This record gives sequence, C-alpha cells and structure tokens, in this order.
Amino acid sequence: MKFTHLFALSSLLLPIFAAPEPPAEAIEAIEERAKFGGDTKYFHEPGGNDELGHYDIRYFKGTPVTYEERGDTLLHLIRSYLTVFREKNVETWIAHGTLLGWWWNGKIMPWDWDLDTQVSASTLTWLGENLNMTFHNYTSLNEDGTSDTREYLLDINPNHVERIRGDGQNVIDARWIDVSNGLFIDITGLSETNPSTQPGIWSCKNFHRYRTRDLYPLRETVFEGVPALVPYSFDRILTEEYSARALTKTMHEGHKWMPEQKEWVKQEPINSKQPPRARAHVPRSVQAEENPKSGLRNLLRVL
Amino acid sequence: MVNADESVDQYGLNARPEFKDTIQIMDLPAKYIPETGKHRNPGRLVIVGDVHGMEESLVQLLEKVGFKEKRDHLILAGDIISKGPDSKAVVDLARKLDATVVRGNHEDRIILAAADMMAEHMDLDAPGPSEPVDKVQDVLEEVSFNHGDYKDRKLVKELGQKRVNWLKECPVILRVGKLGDMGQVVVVHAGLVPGVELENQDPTMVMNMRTIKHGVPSDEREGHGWMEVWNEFQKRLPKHKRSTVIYGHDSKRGLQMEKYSMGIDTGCLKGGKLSAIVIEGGQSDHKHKLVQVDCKDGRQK
Repeated sequence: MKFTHLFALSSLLLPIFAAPEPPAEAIEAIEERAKFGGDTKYFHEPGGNDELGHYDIRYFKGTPVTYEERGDTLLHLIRSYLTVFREKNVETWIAHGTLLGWWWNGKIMPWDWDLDTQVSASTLTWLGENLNMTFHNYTSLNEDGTSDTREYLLDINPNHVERIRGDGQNVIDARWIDVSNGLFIDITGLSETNPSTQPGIWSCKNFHRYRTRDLYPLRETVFEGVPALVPYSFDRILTEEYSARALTKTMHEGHKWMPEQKEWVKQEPINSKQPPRARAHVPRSVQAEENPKSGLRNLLRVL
Repeated sequence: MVNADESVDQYGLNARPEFKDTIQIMDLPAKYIPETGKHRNPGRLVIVGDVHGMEESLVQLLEKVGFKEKRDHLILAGDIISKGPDSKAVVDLARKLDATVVRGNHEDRIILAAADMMAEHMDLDAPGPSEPVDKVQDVLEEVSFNHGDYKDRKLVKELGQKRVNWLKECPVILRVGKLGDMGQVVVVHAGLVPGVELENQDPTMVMNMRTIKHGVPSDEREGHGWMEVWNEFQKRLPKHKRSTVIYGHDSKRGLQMEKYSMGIDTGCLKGGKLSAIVIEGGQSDHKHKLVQVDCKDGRQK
C-alpha cells in the first residue's frame, strides 16, 4: 500500500510518528481493554452519567477535570487531531456539535464535553490497518513562549466493519484520546450503505443519513485556529440535525452569545457540585435520530 | 445593538470563520457605474442571468442589447458554467469582455472539486476520485466511492487550472453602488437575508437560497420566497437605506420582477430565454429595462 505524507513539521506543531511495533503503552492499553471482555461494547467510560461518560476508562484518573482543564484539553485534542490527520493526508471533517460550534465562531462551544469528527468508511479501514493503536505527540507553543507536549492515542474499534447498528454498543468507530485524562474525540465512519438501492445516501452505523452532495466536495475553513474541513451543505446538515433555531438562539446552557466579542460568555459560575444527571454517555451521532424534526429538543439534549 | 439582559433570537449574529478561496464581497469599480445628468458618460451595465455554458445565446443577447465593449460593462449573475454545451467558451468570452462574474453554486462546486483534485490524498487502496468515470458500481459495494461529482471533475479538467483560477477571483456578492430609486444595487447568484450585513451573509446560502423560514434561509422550495421577505423589509426602511438585489438561480420560478429584487434566471439551458437587465443613466435618474433572447434546449445528455 502506498502512503504519501508530507513531513511538513512546523516549529509549532511536532507530531511524532509512532513506531511500527506497538509500544509497551499500547500493549498495556490493549490488555486493559481485554479486562472488559465478555460484553460487546468496545469503548468504555468510567460512568454512565454526563460527568463521567466523557472519559475513556483506560486513561481516566479517578476524578473529573475542572471546567478550565476540560476546555484546554478539548482545544488541544482537536488541534492535534486536525493537524496530524492533515499532515498524513487523511481526509476528515468536523460534525455534530463541533460543527455547530464552528458555525458560531470557529470554536468549541464552552459547555461541550466531547468532540465529533467523521471520515469515510474507506479512510476508517485504512486507519485500522495502518495507524491503529498508535500514539502521537503534539507540541503546542503557549503565548508566553513555553511549550506543552501532549500524547494522544488513535484507537480504532475493530467492530467498525460491521456497518449496521447491531446492538447499539459499537456506534462509535474510533477515538482520539488524550492519554493524560481520558477525554476524547468520537470519530465516526460514513459509507454509502446501499449503493445499488439508495445511491448517494451515506450513513454512519446509527443510520444518521447524509446525501453525497451535502457532504462533498468538502469546504476548507478554520477551526480553533487550524485548517479544517466542513461538509459542503453544512447549513442543511445543521438545521436538519438541530433545527433552524440552533442558528438563531443566543442563550445556551447558561452561556450567552455576545456578537461583539464573538464568544459564548458564561452567565453565572458553573455549579460543580450539581449532581450529575442520570444519563449515559450517548455519542452525538446517536442523539438526534429519535426525533429529528423536533430540533430544539435535540439541541437541548445535546447541549 | 443587543440588550445584554435579554436573549434575542436572530439569524446572522454568528461569527463563522471564512472559507479558503472565497471572496465574500467586491465593489464594482466606480468607472462602470452609469452616470446621470446632461453631460453623462453613456456607459451602461448589462446584467445577465444563468448562462450555463450557452455561449451562442449570450452572444445573441449581447447583440440584441447593442453591447459595446468599450462603452458598456457586462455582469454575469453566476452559474455561467456547467450543464450546457460550452462552459469553456463562456468563461473565455467573459474574460475577453472583462466582465464581472459573481460566484454561483456551480462555480462553487467546480472550485471545490478542483481543490480536492489538487490535494494530496493517501492511497486508500479503495475506489477513489481517480477511478474511471464510467465505473458505476465497485466490487465491494461497501466501499463504493461515488462522491457524485464525476461531472464536476470532468468539467474541472475541461476548463483547466487557469480558468478555474479566474473563477476563484469571482466574488459571492457584487456591490454595484447606489443607483437612484433602486438604492444600493447588489448582484448575487441566489439571494440575501434582509437585515444581515453583506459581510455577515453566509456565502453558501447566498449561492443557494430559495426560501426563508423563521428568519433562516434555506435552499428548499417550500416556504416564503426570500425575495418576498426582502421586499417587505425594504419597504419598512427609510428610502436611503433600501437596496435592490439582482439574482438568478431559480429557473423554476422564472422571471421575478419586484420593486427591490429582480430574478432573471429564465431557463435558457432548458430552451427558455436568456435575460438581461440593462441599466443606464438618464437625465435625472437611472433607468432599467429587460432584454431577452430565445434559447435552444442546451441540456447535455
């Protein structure tokens, strides 16, 4: 298999290629994963509620991160992911709540817990064969001149070839995980499920459907300061998933949109002692399907 | 200005990042704006709807208008390419006449498809953009590539990089300037959302919109036409703030002449007409008229 990549290493971004042999860490991670053998779910989270549902259990440190640490972690998650994928010429685009955040100001919405991206099914297969269980270092320069290096794991769910929803346990195809605290990006593969009977209709395992011409050709833009791709008809995709009101509503989850600042501003301090809502981690790609036309409710549930 | 204490639902307050290779707005050079008064320069503006590769019809229309290269200025309201017999010739004619072209949804797709064809992709060992155009189904149905853009890719090759690069320079919104009773004249391919600054209009929607629902534009046909909302909005503004949009895109609606909007996609490609709005300066104010020619059906099989 040919593999062309650019070794365009800027002074700001230094992704490091993982060795072909799985490093000791990866083996540990695989062993850790084997502990959960017996059930059909591949990825695991430490808890079934909103607060704990956003960590990969292998890297969860026992206590949730703070609001500030979460924001910082998610920022570097998406920057590292988009940068590493771009340098490897792997096509990926942002989706769901992450796409909505881009629409508002090109940033992660401050109340968001996780991030969503999509790839084509053939890209996912390629990732599974070539980059599964690889660790990637990513160095970012801070404004004060210091730098931070963080480590990420790309983990492909081996069940991704099963392009049907099955028991619903494996709707997420891959994760890009911050190994320091377990927060991650959900990566979903899309394919044309029935090219003969329904040409041009793409879906992920949860039957989230997209029209080919709404996805492609992708548009190049910027997300959190790094180059990113979005679907061709991002407006239609957003309004179908979240309703038109998601593009006009200026109060969300205690944050208010300030047009002059171009930011969502927290209206009151987040009460960290608030009891976690009894709700399992439900990936974005699953949420909007139950009642796609009542977009506002979807939005509220997502946010 | 939004009151800080209340939550206001309003479209267009967002600050979406820009797109690569997309020029949002261009101001028409002042030298092309028709003059009024006794000693006016006789130059006119000729604004033509969706040409779609129908070069012959465009030539006929310019003849009927009495277009003079040195005197008049040609503006094309987008979708000058695709579907019809000779996109290349239309681009070449537009370049030769130094026309100002706004970006339509078809130019947009071609520019994006060209960018994707230029980009380096890793070899997936799976069906991909370089596979034969006539391939309908792949051995492995599962990984069928079909991005549905074979026609676009073919047209990119036909046009070549130079013409595609020229199309990239075409703005999504052309601000013509104030022309008397018409107010600020703007040319776009599909439409505009009233009450949103030109700088904040969503370029994708400007090239695709047909309707407005709850203040949010959509490319769907059901609902209030955006131009109805636009005209209502203009009538409530003080006269000096009003604006007229000249657009194409919607051949199903056909000719749409309203006080503050003029839709001029009259389906030339399908054997309808090719339409031009000709604006000239009069003694005291600008005048505009509609000129049309009949077209042969130019749809390619």
